[in-house]
Amino acid sequence: MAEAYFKLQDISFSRPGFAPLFSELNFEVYSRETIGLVGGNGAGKTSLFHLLMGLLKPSSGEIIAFGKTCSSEGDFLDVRTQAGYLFQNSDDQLFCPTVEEDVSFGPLNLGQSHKKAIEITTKVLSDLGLSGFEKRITHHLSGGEKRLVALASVLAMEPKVLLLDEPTTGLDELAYERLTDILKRLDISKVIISHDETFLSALTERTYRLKAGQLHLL
Amino acid sequence: MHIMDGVVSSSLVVGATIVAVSAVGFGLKRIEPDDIPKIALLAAAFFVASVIRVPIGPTSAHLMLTGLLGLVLGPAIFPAIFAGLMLQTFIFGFGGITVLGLNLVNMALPGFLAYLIFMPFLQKEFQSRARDLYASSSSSGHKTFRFIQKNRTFLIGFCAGSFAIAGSLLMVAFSLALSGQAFIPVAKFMVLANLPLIVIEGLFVGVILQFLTSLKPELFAQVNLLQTPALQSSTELRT
Amino acid sequence: MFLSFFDTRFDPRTLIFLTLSFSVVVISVSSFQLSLGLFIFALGLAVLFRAPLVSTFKKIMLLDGFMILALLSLPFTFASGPSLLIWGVSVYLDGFWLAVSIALKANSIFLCFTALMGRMGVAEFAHALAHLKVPTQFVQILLLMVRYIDVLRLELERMRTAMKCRGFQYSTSWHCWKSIGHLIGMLFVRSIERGEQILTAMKCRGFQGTFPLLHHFHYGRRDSLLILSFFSGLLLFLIFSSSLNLASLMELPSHG
Repeated sequence: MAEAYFKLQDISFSRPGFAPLFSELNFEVYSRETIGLVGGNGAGKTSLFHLLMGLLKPSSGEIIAFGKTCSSEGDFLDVRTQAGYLFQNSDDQLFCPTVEEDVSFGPLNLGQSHKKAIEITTKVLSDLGLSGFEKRITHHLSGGEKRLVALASVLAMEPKVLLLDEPTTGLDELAYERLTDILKRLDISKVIISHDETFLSALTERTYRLKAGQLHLL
Repeated sequence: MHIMDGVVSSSLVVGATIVAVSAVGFGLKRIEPDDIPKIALLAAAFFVASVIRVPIGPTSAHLMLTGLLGLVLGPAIFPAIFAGLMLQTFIFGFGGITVLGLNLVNMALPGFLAYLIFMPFLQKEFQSRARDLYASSSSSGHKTFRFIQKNRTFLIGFCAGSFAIAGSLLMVAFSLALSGQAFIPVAKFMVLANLPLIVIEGLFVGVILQFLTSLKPELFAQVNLLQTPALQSSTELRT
Repeated sequence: MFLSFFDTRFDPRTLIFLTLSFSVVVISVSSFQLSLGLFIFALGLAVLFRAPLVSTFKKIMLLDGFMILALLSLPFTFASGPSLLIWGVSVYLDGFWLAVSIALKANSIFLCFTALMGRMGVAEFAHALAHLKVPTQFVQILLLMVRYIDVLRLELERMRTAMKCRGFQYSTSWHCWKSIGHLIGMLFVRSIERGEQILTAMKCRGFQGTFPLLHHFHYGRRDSLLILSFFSGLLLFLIFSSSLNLASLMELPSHG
């Protein structure tokens, strides 16, 4: 029996001064499944991720994450260590001078010792084919390399679910294939926002379209 | 550490305003038109960063980072901070109108002095970094010596940051004391209460300087103090 | 008819000039009576120009917290003149009146500023400065700052959100401090790079080192009228308040 990682029940949400973004929306993510998410600009795909991570609070409805009803900031601290969120713009995510420091930032936040954090970093980097990148300056990497380092920094926290926001935008062919390949091999749940149909069909089991505040199965 | 309107004596206000206006003019003279976007954006970043609170035990503190700004901007620190203070007064309505000049001098002058004192050290550090690229000299010697070798940039930043904030503190206290006997106890208290900040500013400026020198070394290379060709640029050595 | 005069738009230069003049007058008077008179004058300005008094009051409360504390401490630390013993603590009257007069001065200037310049946009202010012969380079720094402060603030917010998503929490630890240091460093790097991009974009549009000024202001008869009535009102208030006898109030029962 697959375990439910996220359960959104009758979630409504609106930004102050705007029409409601979601009205009584339901959404579930189970273990080891990959879900695609499409929708026009401003349909609220990123906002949905923000709700899952507790960065936005719904006006009504319930968010159950990893078996626990979450409402306060404290509840979501736990969620953030179990769900890895890959930002649309890797530059927003990477802020440390070197790759090693950036990737070990998450494990250190989880309270790992310095030595353990470095161990995890080395392992994650080699898993993604980034061995030897440890001392490189993150800011000077190419767009594709930055995306992979950002992914490494998320994976270093050993998440159960990955939330990927437009992971393929701005990647060249080589980086694109490398990312597809890595994601295929990763045996954890994934929710992927993308406009790229080939990418989604290669990875996902089902895809939803977010339209007028509701999710429609495609 | 702003002084507000009505506290200091009018003669001090007049004196500080004259110094401030000449300092801003001095800074503007040393700006190339091409530098303006960079200066403005750095001033904006400095303004934005000032909302960040650093947790210190049960309380928290704001950072000033004027030592860092001095190292990055040199003489342009005067117009940059003046623009920041003006916006603060204009947008938030506080910061003081008549004391704008005094606040500018108190904040920017120590930052500029930090630039004059510590920039040569930073330049030397760049030159030795460039040399190390050729001869990967595994420095030998005492443990403390090796530590200093490894963290020279951090230490330069620490000194510049601490120096600038300590200077500002003393200048604010001095402005208060000059305004009358009544403020001497307050000035003393202010200096004592902010002593820990001197160390904290130093640590932060050290970390940030290290960060900036590894990501954007060109910011600090090829700097001529006060526009007199003083030091050999490090970029030449590296190529 | 009379009130609608204050709703008309004045030349921003006039307003800046009046605010500055008033501020200089406020800090140069030394007697308590005159400070009080000027405060009432500023309050009158705020009413006439319909300054949003509630939000103004909130802003006044936000005035640098440390200085408020410093003011509050004056009656206890400035050991001079007669003192009162309240709950076993000596309160010095000289210190008390000094604190009150500083508070009056700071708030007078603030009220005048809000009344006259509260509705002026930042861009308008910057342009007015340029027309007041402030060097254009400085005005350009000011304008670019205004334009990009919000952009950088949002960038900082996004980076902080990303840190939060990776389990970052504020604490007194080297890890936390170092991370904040890197965050600020990254903000600086991004601002520098954006500055470089702006310069490139400006050059692509033919920038050759000079900045044209688009806004022009018109100094009119209403401005002269405002300046005239402002200074005559100010003079009247000063004369009136200096003739008041507040001395009896200042010498409250003391245990000198």
